[in-house]
Amino acid sequence: MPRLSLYKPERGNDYAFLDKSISEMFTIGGTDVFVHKYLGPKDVSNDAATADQPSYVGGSAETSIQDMLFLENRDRKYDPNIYNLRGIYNVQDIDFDLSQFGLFLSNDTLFMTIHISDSVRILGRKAMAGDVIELPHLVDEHALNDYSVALKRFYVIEDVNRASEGFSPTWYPHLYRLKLKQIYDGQEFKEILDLPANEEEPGEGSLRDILSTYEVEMQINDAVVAQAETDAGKSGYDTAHYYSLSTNSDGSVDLETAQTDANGNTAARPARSGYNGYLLGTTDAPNGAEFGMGISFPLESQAGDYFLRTDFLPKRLFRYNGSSWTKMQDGVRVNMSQTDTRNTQKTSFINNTNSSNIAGETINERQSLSKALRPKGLETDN
Amino acid sequence: MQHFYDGQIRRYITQMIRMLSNFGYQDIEGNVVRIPVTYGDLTRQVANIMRDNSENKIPSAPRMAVYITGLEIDRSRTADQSFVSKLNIRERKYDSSGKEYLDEQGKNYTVERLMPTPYTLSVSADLWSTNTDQKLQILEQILVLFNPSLEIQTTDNYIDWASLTVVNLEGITYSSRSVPVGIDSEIDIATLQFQVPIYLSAPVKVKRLGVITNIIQSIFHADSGEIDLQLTPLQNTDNIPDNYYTDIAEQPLIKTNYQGYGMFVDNTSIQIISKNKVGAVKWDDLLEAYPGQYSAGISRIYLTNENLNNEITGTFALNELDTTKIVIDWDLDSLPTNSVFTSNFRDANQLSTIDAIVDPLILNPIDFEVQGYRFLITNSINNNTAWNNLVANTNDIIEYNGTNWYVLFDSEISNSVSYVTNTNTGKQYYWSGEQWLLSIEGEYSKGNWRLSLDG
Repeated sequence: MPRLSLYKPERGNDYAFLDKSISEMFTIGGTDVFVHKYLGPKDVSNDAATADQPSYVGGSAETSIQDMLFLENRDRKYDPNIYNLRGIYNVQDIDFDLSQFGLFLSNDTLFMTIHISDSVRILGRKAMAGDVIELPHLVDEHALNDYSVALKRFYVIEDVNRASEGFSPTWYPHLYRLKLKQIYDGQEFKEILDLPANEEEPGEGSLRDILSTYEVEMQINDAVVAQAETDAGKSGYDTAHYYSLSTNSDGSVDLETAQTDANGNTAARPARSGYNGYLLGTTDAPNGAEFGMGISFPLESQAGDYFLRTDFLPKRLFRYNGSSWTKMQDGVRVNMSQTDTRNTQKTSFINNTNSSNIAGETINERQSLSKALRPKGLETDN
Repeated sequence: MQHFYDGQIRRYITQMIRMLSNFGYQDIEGNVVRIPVTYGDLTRQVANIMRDNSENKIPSAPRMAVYITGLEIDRSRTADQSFVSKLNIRERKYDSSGKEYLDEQGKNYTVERLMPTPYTLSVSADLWSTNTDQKLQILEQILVLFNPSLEIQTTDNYIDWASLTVVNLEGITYSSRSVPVGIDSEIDIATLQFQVPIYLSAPVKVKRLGVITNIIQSIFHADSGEIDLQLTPLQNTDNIPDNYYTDIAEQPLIKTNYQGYGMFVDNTSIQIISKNKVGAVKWDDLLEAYPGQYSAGISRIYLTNENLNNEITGTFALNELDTTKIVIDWDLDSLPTNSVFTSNFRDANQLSTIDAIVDPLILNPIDFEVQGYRFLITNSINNNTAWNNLVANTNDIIEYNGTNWYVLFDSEISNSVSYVTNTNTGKQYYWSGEQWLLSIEGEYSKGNWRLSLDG
């Protein structure tokens, strides 16, 4: 008679019986868990791949590492199919921490148990860090918004271990203990948050639109920047609404008779602005006078005419003195917001889309310092 | 103290957020995602609103938060606290109906600014990122701009001399995490510490343009070593004699004003005298240069001369048909006080007036022989029977005493300045010692007039 032992080197019928019973227990008492299966980092094209951020032959898998230096998978692929498991966890009260960016759940780490055999059978592999799960029983139908869909609750798996309570008398484990943390709207979960908020009407916004605080944060940011631009639209100082008096060499006011009215006299157009200071030059003529613009001076001009040369950088305003065009001012005032078109001396090195044709080859002007004029085969435009 | 608040520190924070805005990171597919920047010290209620009052909302990352960590007075930049800077501004005329500035001169101002108080504002910016590559992408874009500072402006107002400052990057706390990370948190926080030298300013005083338009200069008496104010002022400095400066003790005051112009008054019309030429300059010239904004019927001119104890004044309007002239509406109260010519035959309230100016050789006085009636005569009378054998000289004032005409004011012996008003015309005349002139007519040399264009 063989000795009695619940442990066996192989998983026998006892194990199978217990495993099925436990699985049934999860079916009866567990909650639905929708799993967004992690498939690995996004594939890099061969051209963009580097030694430490490689392109994997046959495409990346869940075991691939995107960045060998920083050891992180930041651009993640997720299976468009959703896998349904059952899980059990202790519901707990949560509090919010008020941080610089708003409220964060202070104790939002959940520990959930799932059935090993079922999860492997359904997922095709063991649950792993990076898998995202959705708990449909935690949807919030009463959020303060105007959305027609309830807010779902997403967690990401941080760690997967065998649950201590999941060991049966056979000494074989039946449960995985998942350490879960609420996801954030970041680079890592882009594919999930790009999913439609309402599967039945995929054109009506993404999960990000309803779940993430990003949109409202950008609206707040834009409002503050708009106020900043109202306070100081451009660098330097605005003197456009000030009046500059044209004077003769003796200091008297320079008047000229209006051509259209024999009795009318009007002040002559000043040869320079009446105001001095830091960054006052604009592309507007003093006192709101009319001016022409272009890349070459007009052939017929009268003394006092203004003309803006747009081929100068910065644009330059000239005044015709009767015999020649003399420089008045440069339009040096620029928007101080960090826009894609800001073109100061410093930002012109960054906001630069110029290209040059050099010996028949089109070369982008903007190149990274480390990559410019590298030997052929090593350079990469950036 | 009256309440005032200009939101000065608030504007610095606003500009700091602007400075850090519009940066982004690029994912592997080339998508550039902008990073939101907000103020870091938000309230719990707003935080709840931002997440739709739901625990299912998820925070976004990366993002940045800007918040104040300190504010200290900067003793090294303190300056004379009583210093007041004055700035003179001419504004373009504003068309309030069209809501636009026109190409002509509008209101003029003088702005007085009190020395602002220097402070150092310490600001931190926290950068939350979810991975190292993302963090380095953002940091590289921001840090390359600081070498070691960036300029910001709280306003682009030309008046605001405290609006321009720099943001100095003083330090970087690279990570909030220890290495290795431990058991938790995907999110990493890098902190940039900035210092901003700022000024806090009191409100300014905005006044009408206060540039100097008239200069009255006292001349030092070389012999006595004093300024002698009793000597006769120099009336005309257009042609200064060769010995003027050696004989300077006789000329204690020099008055001048814009371009050395004088004024010529002809009844209700005034023309500008330039280089001894009347009407050579158009009034547009003066009105354009002078502080204030000309308004017909509101702008005012003041005139004086050595015979006037007070300035005479009136409002004026430009003569549109001849812009070398203005038409003045005199303030009668500003005209000189009439002299009193005592008489027992005339109403006590009319002792400083005459009834008419007449030529006695062509006027038959029989109709005017009423007790107390007065004439200023423009010809002499020598035993004329019509005038009851009266003997009087040209420019005399004669009065009827009920029986005969007699000389009330003898021009031959009176050389003091006298004023009298002709009740027939309402005009006032003054006796210069030689002739009767309209009291306000004639030349007013430079320095003896001024304008108040705003009334």
